[in-house]
Amino acid sequence: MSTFAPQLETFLRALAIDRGHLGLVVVNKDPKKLSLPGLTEGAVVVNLDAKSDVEAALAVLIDCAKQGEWMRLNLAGSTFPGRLYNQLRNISTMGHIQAGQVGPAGDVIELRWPKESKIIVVATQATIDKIQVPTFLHLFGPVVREE
Amino acid sequence: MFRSPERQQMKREPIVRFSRPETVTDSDTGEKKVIEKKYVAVAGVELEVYEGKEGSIFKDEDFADFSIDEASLDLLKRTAIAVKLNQPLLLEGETDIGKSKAFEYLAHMVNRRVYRLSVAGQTDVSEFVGKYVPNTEGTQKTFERILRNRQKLTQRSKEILDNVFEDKNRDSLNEDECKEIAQLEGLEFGEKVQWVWQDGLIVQAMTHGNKRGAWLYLDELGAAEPQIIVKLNRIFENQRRLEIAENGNRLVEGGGDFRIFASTNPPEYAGRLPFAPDFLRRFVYQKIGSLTPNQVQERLAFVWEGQKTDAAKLLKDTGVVESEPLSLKENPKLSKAIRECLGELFSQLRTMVKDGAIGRDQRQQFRYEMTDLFRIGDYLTAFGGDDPEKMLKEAVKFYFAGKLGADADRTKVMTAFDAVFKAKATGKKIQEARAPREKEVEPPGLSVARSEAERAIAELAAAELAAMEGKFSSESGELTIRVRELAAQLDANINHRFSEQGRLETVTIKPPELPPGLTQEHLDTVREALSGGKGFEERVLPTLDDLRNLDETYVGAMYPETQSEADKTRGLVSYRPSWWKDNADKALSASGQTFGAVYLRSIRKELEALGGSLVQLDTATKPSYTDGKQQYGTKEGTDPAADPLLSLFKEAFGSDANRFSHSWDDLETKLLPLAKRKIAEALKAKGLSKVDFEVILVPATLDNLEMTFNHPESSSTNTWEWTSTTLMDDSGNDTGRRLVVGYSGSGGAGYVDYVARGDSLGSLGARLAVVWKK
Repeated sequence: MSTFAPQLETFLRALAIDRGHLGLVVVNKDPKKLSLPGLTEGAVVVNLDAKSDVEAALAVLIDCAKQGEWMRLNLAGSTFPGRLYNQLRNISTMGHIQAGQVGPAGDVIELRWPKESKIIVVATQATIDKIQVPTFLHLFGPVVREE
Repeated sequence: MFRSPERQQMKREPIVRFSRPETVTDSDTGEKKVIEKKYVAVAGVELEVYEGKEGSIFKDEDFADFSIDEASLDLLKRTAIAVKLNQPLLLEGETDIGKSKAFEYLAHMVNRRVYRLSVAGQTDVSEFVGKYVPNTEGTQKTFERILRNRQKLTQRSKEILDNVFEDKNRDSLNEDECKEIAQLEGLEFGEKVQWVWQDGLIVQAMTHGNKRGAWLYLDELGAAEPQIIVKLNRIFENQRRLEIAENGNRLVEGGGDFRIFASTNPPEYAGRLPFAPDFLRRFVYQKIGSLTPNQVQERLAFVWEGQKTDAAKLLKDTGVVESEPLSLKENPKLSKAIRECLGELFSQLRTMVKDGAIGRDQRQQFRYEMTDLFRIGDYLTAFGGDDPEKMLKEAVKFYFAGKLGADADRTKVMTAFDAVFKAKATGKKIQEARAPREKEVEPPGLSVARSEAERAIAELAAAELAAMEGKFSSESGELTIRVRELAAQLDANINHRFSEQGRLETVTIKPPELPPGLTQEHLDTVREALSGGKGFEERVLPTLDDLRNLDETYVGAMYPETQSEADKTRGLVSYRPSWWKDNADKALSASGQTFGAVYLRSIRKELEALGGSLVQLDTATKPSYTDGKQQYGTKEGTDPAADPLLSLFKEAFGSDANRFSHSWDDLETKLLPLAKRKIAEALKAKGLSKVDFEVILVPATLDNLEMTFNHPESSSTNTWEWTSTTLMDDSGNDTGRRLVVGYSGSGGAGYVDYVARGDSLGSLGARLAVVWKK
């Protein structure tokens, strides 16, 4: 990790000013174990695997937009929920969230993604390879890879 | 074509925002009223700006880094055409050429809400159409958690889910199925929990804004799973209606403003399969090329340095769409000529695709379909009125060549078109079909102006050619031409077009756009009341924007600092005398401004109040002056019958009077009220609606432009004319001086000087204007 830390710092600097708001960290082992310098305290962490509650993850995303917080998304498993991908795509292209069927009333939530909020997706290459979204990597601005 | 100032502006600027009054019928009361509607034109394609609250959620600054360059303007134009014609558009192009952003930018400009759906990675489309959920948050989460753990479901629950998945007409569980699964999985919801339907984003888009509809954007369509495409097909089968089987066969109708767009990466991308032709035919499929190295640099220059792409170059590359509608139904001969051409071309192109002559190396296969021909018909109906031949070619390029990725293939399509067009003599037939049509639709009253207009156009053409040959003394030939374009805006009822070589190609006469409540009958009545039906041509007084806010570019072209010998004798172009740069008299500027600055300030003030107004202009020829007995109407001034306003002047000033030797005050107090009263009485006698108007002497700007460019014969006389333009001091107060224009000895009709309002000079005449305020 010691050799990775400087690269992570560069990555975070780049992400902080990125227009697309999303960055990807490719790690060699469990994403949850990655330590992100200077950020781990503030970022809201979501662990996403096949059994995760997508609605809950979406709720966190919406909350991050409202609060102007950073979000860290640790990926595991082989699927990436389309509903969540749709919002990440909205954020990366338009800086905006537009989610339908939110809550029991089925509301449409429209929110501007704050410039100060960023999303870090952390995953192994094996996980990324399993994701059945051909354009998944188009979401990200800065990408850093653990050597 | 110079149909209106905004259309003129569209020839210079890729994006033009404007408004115009339109008559609408109140749906509740049935009453007609005139409202000001806002528009945005993208490369000539006019789209109305929605003014409701349910529009764009973005702000202008969200698009501060959106570059209007060659590639983005092309995307904007294609999308705008699809919006205008209500045709579903599918753009295929590389990632990052800006498809999504261009689409969003267009939507923002016209204040439309966008519903965005990225279909990549979706495994079901219940988010698109809708689904049943329990009506409390806790039970909803419980039910969804159960559905996620598919392996733990009972066999019957799995069967229910599989049935829905395999049914191409279904996207989610119906209420009974939800209840059955809940029961099978042992959920006890109790009586208080009810199952409610939640509309998906597509249904939301169809019914957005009190059922008006929004714009639906399906992003990354090609990255969708095949089974999702099958499901989406149901939505595209009928663009405006969606029957939701799982919601009690509920029928959802898309509102009138509902539009569908999709984008996709090329099938060469990993994981992307080509679309089936049957799916593709539901869209106007357009293949967009990659950004060239120059286009990449162009975009970076804007984002990094704020450097805009030259507007003229942009429009030259992208082309401007003419917006005049065309009724094929009412023009059967024209329609037949186009049908013959397209029928043959269609057959040839289908064969070329089948034989691999075009599109062979393209992974996304397609067919040319009858729907393409129907869409070409829509295109011509919307845009073909001014120049059907040109629009036909553009439509073929858009709908047929646009499907092809390779430049060589697109060239083959257009070559085939040119060959068929020539073989079928389509151009000749179109011209023959159009000739009588223009006569039929000629509005009443304009026939009177026809002969004068044609003469004016002929002279304008001659002057235009002379300008092209560099005979004008402008500091820049290009600037002179720009000013001439501005002058042409005044020609609201004369449309003309020049070839690239400067030859006059077509001349048509069309009605100007009228202010609210004003009809052609009002205009004709003015002519009758003042001059027995003669003279008084319609013009639009330019706005400050039209004249570049009288900046140095405009002034430099309109009033060059030197004047050639040729121009002196022709009297076609004015110039700035040396004293233009001198300090003005203290009565005009206590702060020591120059005469030039004082003039421009005064002109500006008047245009702020009246710019953009429709003006009926007295265009009688100004005579040469010898002893004060001359009459307007001919250059020699010897024929009193030639002046249509002579009787009005005699009525105001006595039987010996003519247009010369009156002070501005006398004209203001005697002539103008008389003219206004005559018009008001005539309008009242005909029972025409009351519309605000004023009778004034001609504004200096209008006189300068009009006489310089459209009536140069009035430039070569040794006479002046009063104008309505008041010379203002530094504080904006009337100095008691009025601008006077003309006099060939000092530079022609564009020349400006001033005279005290109470003074009268023998060689100082007057010209009237009726202003219908904007």
